Amino acid sequence: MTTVLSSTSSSNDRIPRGSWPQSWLLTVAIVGVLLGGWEITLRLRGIEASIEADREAWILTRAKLRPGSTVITGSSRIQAVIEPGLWMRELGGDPPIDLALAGSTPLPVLEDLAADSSFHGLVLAEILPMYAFDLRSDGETILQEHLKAYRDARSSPASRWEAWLRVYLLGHFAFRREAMLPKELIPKLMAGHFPLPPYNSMRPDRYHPVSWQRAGIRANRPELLDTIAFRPTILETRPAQGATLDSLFRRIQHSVESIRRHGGQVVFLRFPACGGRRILEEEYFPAGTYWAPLRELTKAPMIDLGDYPEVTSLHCYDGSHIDVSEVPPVERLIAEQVKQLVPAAVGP
Amino acid sequence: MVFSSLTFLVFFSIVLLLYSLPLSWTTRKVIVLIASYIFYAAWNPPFVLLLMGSTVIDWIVAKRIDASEQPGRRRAWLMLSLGFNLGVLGFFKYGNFLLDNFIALAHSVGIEYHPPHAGIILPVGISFYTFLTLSYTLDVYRREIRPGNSFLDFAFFVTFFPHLVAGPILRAADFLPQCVTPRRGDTDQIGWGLALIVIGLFEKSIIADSLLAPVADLVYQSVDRAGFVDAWTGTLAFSAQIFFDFAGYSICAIGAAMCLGFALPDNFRFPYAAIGFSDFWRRWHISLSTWLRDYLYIPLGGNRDGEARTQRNLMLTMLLGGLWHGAAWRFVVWGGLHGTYLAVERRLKRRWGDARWLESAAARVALALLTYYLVCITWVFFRASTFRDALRLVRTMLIGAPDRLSLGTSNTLTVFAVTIGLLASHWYMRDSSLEDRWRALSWWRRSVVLATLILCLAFVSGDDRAFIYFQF
Repeated sequence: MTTVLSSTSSSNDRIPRGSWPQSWLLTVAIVGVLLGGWEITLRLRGIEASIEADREAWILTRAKLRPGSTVITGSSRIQAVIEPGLWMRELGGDPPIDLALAGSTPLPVLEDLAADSSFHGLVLAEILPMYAFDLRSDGETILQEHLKAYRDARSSPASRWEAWLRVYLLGHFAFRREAMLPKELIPKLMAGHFPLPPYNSMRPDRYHPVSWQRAGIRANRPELLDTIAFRPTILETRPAQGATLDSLFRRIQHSVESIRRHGGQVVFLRFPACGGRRILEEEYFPAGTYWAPLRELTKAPMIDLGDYPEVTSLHCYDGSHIDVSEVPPVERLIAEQVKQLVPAAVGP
Repeated sequence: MVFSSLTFLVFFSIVLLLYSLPLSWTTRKVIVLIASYIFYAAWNPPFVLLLMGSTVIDWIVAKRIDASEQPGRRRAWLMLSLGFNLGVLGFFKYGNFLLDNFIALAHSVGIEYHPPHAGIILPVGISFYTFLTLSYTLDVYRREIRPGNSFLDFAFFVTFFPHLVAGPILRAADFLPQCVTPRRGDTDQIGWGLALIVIGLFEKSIIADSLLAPVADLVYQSVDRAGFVDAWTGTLAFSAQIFFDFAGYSICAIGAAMCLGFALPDNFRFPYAAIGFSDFWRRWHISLSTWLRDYLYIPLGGNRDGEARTQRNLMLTMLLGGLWHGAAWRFVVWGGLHGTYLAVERRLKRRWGDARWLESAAARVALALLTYYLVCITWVFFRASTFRDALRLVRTMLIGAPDRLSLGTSNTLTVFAVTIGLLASHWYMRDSSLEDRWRALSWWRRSVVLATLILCLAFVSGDDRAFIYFQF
C-alpha cells in the first residue's frame, strides 16, 4: 500500500497524556458516591424505583400482543384497576396486554387492532369522555406516536434492544423516576418542598397500582374543595360536538365493526370519577351526549361502573384512581360482567 | 445504533472487551468488522447488503483500475463504480425527490400524472459511506494510492463502526495504513477516548437535545406565529443545536476509534469563530468540505481558469454540497447561499484583502460576527420544513413581525446564554484545540469535569433524538 496523500490532522497526535487511570478512578468514585447517595436518600424518603409509563414500556407490551390476546385500552383509570394476575385467575387465558395510557383515548389502539385482520381477541376499552372527546387532549397524538415507534421498532433490532434496556435497567433506579428528574424536581425544591413519594408505580406488565397510603394521603378532600380544585382543568377542555363528534363516533364504530369481522370482541367500560370531579365530568361531558350515541352506533357490550353502588361509593383522592387495596372487588366485578357479556371471549 | 443509547454502551463494552483479548491482529480486525456490521444492521438488517455490495464492488473495481494501463478501460471501470455508487445513492436518497419534481413538472405543462408513492426508505449513512468508497476508487484511478492487498482491511475501512453512519468521511490513505500494523488503545488513548465520548454525549444529549432542540422545534413548527425575537431565538437555538449535535457525534466517533487505537480526522475546529466563509468551511464538517474540494471543486478546474470559472466552480460545488445533505430544494438554496457568500468573499478579498485595518482585533471580531449572522440565515433553509416556511422566517428575521409565540423567558434566556457561551468559547479556542485545554488541567480537575458531565447525563430525560446528520 503506497500512501501519497498526506495524513490529515488527527486527535491521536495531540492526546493529553498521563494520569488517566487516576482520573477515571476518581471520576467513577465521585459519580458512584453521589449517585448512590442520592438513590439511598430517595429510598429512605419512600420513593421507590419503578418502570416509567413511557414509550419504551408501551412498545414492549405491544410487542407481546398475539392474535387471541385480551387487550386493555383507555386511560390510567383502567390501568389502576385491571391487575393481570387476578384477571387471569378470574377469566383464564394469557395475561391481558395493557395498552392504556394516562390521559388518553382507546381510539388509536382500536384502529390499530381493526387494521390487523389476524386479531380475534377481546378488547376492554375504557372510554373517558374527558380525554376521548376533548379536542385539546394530546392523548391520541401521543398514542399515535407510540404506535409509529412500535412499527419502526419492528424493523429495527436496535430500537427493541434500547426499549428493553431502558425499561428493565433504568427501572431499577429511583433517581430515574420522572418526578425525580431535574425538570420536575428543581421547581419543587425551589418552591421549598421535597416531592412526596409518587402515588403510583408501574409494573413490567404496565399495571399501575395506586397507593394513597404510601403517598401519605389518607383522607379525601371534601367534595366542594375537590370541585374547586378540578374546575380549572376541565375548563381547559374543548368538548367535541356536532360533526367532529360524529366523526369520532364513526371512527370508533368502524373500528369495532372491523374487529368483530375478524372474530374479535370489544367491550366498552365506563369508570366514573369520584367526588366533585364526577359532578364536573358529568356537567361538561354528559353521559347522554357521549355514551348513549356510542352504545347506539356500535351495539357493543358496555359495562357502566356508575351503575354499581359498591364502585361509586369508593374513594379516590384525586377523583380518578382507586387505591390498590380496593382493586380486587372492582376487578372481579368487571371480570364477572365480561363473562356474562361475551362468554366466548373467556379463556380456558 | 446511536452513540447516545444504552444499546451502544453495552455494544461498545463488549467490543472493547473482545478487542482487548490476546488474539491475533487479524482475528481482532474480524471481531471489529463483524461488530461494525451488527452496528449497522441493528438499524435495519436488510440494508447491510447494500453496504456489503458497495464494499465488494469498489474493491474489485479499484483492483481492475490499478491493473489496467489502458485509459479507456480504466475509465470504464471508474464509470462502473460511479454508476453503482451514485445510482444507489440516487435511487434511495433522491428517488422520491426526482419523482415529486417530475410530477410537478408534468402538472405545470397540463399533464395529470399520479404514480403511486415509491415509499423508499433512506438507508442510514448512505451518503457518508458512498463518498468514502468513491474517494477510494477515485484515488486509485488518479494513481494517488495503490489498492491494498487485504480485502479484510478494505472492508474494515469501509465499515469501521465509529465513522460508519455520520462520518468523519475517511480517506483510504489516512486509514488503511492503520489497519496494517497491529494496534490497541494504550492507557492514554483509552482514557482520552472515553473522555471524548463523554464530552460528545454531553454536547448531544444535554446541550443540543435538552436545552436547544425544544426551542428550535417550537419556533420551526409554528413559523406563522413567530415574530422577530421568536424567529431569532429559534434560529440561534438551531445554529447551536446543529453544532453540538454533529460536533458531539464526531467527537464520540473519534473517541470510540481512539479507544481501539485508531485515529480519525477532525471534523470541526470551532467553526463559529470563522472569519469569512472560506475560513468557515475549513472549520465546519471538514471531512466533507475537503472531500468536495478534492473530488469536485479541483476536478472542475478549481481556481485555475480565471475568475469567472472559479466563481462557477465554487457555486457548483456548494450547490451539490447542499444537495448532498438532503433531497429538497431547501438544501440546494442553503448550498447556493454558501456558494454566493464564498464568491462574494473572494471578490472582496481581491479588492480589500491586504487592507491593514482588517488585521485589527475589532475588525476580526466584527467579521466573525458578520459571518455567524450570515451562517444563521442559511440555517433557516436547512431547518425549515418547507421552502415557504424558510422564506417567511427569513423575512421575519430581517424586517420583523409581532411575537405571538410563547417561548417563555427561561427558554429565550437559555438560548441566548448558550449562544454567547458558544461564540465566546469558539473565539477563545479559535487557534487552539480541545486537547490543549485538557492538557492544562490537573488529573483531579479532569475527574471533576468528567464526573459533572456524567452526572448530567445520568439525569437527562429519556427523550432521545436521532443525530441530525443521520438523515443524510
